[in-house]
Amino acid sequence: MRWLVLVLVLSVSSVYVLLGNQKRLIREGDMLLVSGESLIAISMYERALLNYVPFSPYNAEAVEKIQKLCPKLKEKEHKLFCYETLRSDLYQLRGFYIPYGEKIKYLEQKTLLTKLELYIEKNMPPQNKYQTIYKDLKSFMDYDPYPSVLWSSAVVFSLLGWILSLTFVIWKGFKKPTDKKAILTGVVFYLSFFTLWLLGLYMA
Amino acid sequence: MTLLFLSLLAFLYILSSTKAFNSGDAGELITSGATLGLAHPSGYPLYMEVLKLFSFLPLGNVSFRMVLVSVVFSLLSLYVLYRITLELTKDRYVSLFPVALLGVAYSFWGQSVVVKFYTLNLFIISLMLLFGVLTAIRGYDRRYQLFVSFLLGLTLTNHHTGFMMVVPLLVLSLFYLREALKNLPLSFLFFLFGALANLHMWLRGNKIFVMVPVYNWNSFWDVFLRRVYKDGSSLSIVKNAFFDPFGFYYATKNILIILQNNFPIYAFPLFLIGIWQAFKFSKRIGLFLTTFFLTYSLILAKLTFSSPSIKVDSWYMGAHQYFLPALFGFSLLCGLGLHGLVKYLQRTELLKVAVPLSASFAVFLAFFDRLIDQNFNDNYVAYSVSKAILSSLPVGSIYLTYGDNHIFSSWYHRYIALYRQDICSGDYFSPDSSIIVQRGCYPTKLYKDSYIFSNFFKGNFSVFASSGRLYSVIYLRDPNPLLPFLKNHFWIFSFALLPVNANISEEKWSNMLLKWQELEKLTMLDCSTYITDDLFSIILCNYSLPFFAYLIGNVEVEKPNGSIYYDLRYTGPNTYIVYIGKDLPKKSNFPGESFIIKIGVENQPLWDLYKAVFNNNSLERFKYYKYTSEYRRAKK
Repeated sequence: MRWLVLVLVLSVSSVYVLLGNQKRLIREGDMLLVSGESLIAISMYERALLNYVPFSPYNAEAVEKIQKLCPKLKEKEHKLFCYETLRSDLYQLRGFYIPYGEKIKYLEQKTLLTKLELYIEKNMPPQNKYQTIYKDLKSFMDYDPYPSVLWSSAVVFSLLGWILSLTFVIWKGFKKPTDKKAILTGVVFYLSFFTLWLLGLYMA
Repeated sequence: MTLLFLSLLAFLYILSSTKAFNSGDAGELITSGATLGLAHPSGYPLYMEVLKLFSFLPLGNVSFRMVLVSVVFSLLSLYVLYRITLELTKDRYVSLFPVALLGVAYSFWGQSVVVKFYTLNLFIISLMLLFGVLTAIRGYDRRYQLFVSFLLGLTLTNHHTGFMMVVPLLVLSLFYLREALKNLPLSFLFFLFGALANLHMWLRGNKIFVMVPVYNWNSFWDVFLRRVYKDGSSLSIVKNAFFDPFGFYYATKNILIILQNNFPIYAFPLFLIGIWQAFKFSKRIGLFLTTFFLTYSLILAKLTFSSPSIKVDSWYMGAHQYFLPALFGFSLLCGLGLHGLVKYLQRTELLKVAVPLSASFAVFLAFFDRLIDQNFNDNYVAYSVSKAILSSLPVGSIYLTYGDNHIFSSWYHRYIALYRQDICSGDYFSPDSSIIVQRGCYPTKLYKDSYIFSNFFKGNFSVFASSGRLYSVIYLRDPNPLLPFLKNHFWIFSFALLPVNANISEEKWSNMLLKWQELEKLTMLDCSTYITDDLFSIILCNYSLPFFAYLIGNVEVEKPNGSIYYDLRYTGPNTYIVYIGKDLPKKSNFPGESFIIKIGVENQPLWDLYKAVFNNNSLERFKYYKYTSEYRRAKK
């Protein structure tokens, strides 16, 4: 029970601090926008989003504000900064799922096309290379080293499993007199978790 | 009461923890943790998996979730400290004192609010200490021995200093030699079970992007024993312990400095009384606890921190990180010391409660200091600098990074934030070396086979650079083999390396540069406002200043109020001298750049910001600066 209270304190403190940060950063972003510093404003909204709290109204506000600002920017480089910032923020929030993940496809398309335009503008490659360049840029963007959520969660939970199984074997099995049944049960659990752990590491 | 204390600390740690990745190793650790990979040698597989576990929490971004690992294991370590003191003193008020002492100690707090493995390491060590103490109090129990052996095995999957617990444990086992030897084979088995978590390295070491891959036995030992660091490898460090007995003098001196900077002066007499008190409990407890303290203070310092002249970054990495177990032992002995004093207050029950509680409260007030010097809540320096560089680079650029602060941040942005994956970043070991390690272009084949990077990978650096897509954090200087073909040109916190024959008009260059004025300003605002005593933030900000000065010089000024000469000379890798003045700078043999900054209303605020960054990033704000070799040199 005592530990649950501490977990609760940790959760409530996190929510309180993150929400406070979100509110302040959004306000700072708004002020910067008024003074015409759009890129810094976007960065403030970005930080607000990085202080993500589920169900916080500030998340959607930050996403919307960045998204609305992107097309208004004059320079193509700044548009790229804007679209890609939002995309990367969402990836930084990913856990079992990506919040606002439905926006990623649109953002990726925008980012990719802007990159292509900028590359062509600056480097003036032959026209027959446009397709290749598009494919290159797309393949760079498609690469994602993030391991499978299913298998990586299997890894971390089975790690906990085999550590706890061994702890069980030690505490219950090796008391005096030795409890062979506890050892056997613990070892079976240990082997199961350990196998799942190895499999998870391989598959993730 | 303990719960209240820990809850308060939990809130304060969360409040001051980093919300984007911090400087130093954090970028790399988050990248490796999130991808279930390996960090720098020794790989830290256990920490990687714990990071991954926390990355699933639905709060904040991945960096914040991972900093919670440090917060949680700090709190757990403090709880174990409380338990040990309580087991020994049976006094719950006295037991709060060491918790307060350690909880607000400079380095302990500092490590609790950043992404780093030291608090997990401390927790494992503290558990072993607890079971050692329980053995000394309650008598031998084979379960304690087996569990501690398992934990010892686990230390080999995190920070290897945890394994040094073997020294105090061996001392304790002398008192229970027969039973300990009888259970030795079983202990060894459980030790192996713990160490088996290193299988992570085999299964993930070459599967995804990792800093130093593991693909066979040899590479496994390279990573596990940190052989890639040569003189800094685990075996070399241990070997050095037996040489240079005079090193113990410097080790003692440095440990005293560390303790003095972490604890109030009145803790020292309590510590001495604590040692006496520990021996008063029993010889076993006295020997066990003092061996523990000596192992993690004197011996560890002899191994890692006993040079007569220590540089500023080593003070930061050593003093501020390695010695958490020593701080833990010191606090514990102080708690025992307070117990020794309180025992004399037998006549008044009220004083027996009031003295330890007020002592704990008095110590705890240091949290006001920690909320300034270890507050990372608004420290976005590492995130900001790295993002400003990447954002400003043209599509399809190569960016040569240097030093962990730049390299690891770029990995985080590329692999975790998936930001600017069209940029290929390479480590560049020194300005005189042309060796480029393409760790920031993973999977290399993708980039190597692409049309965009084909010229670079074929070795046509000059042709590639002519498109304005080659950048470097380091200033190229003699005898760099690229120097005959490329010249440095200031860019956003990096240099554009342009072919020597490429002529770009000043106006065109200024226009390109000024497009990023806002982002550069944001980074400088971050550099001028953060309050943390964080050496790597200081270094990053100072390193960025000349680029900012160059940008200020590029702002068009209609009616200048005056002109400033800015002269920058590179004296070594990452080190430079700056001259700022109204007169022409003296001629220097060091390579570098000179430019004039015309100051007017258009760029006066930026110049003021420059000065604010300069003032906020003085090396002197670093707590240990006055003990560093740099300080001594500056004094001379």
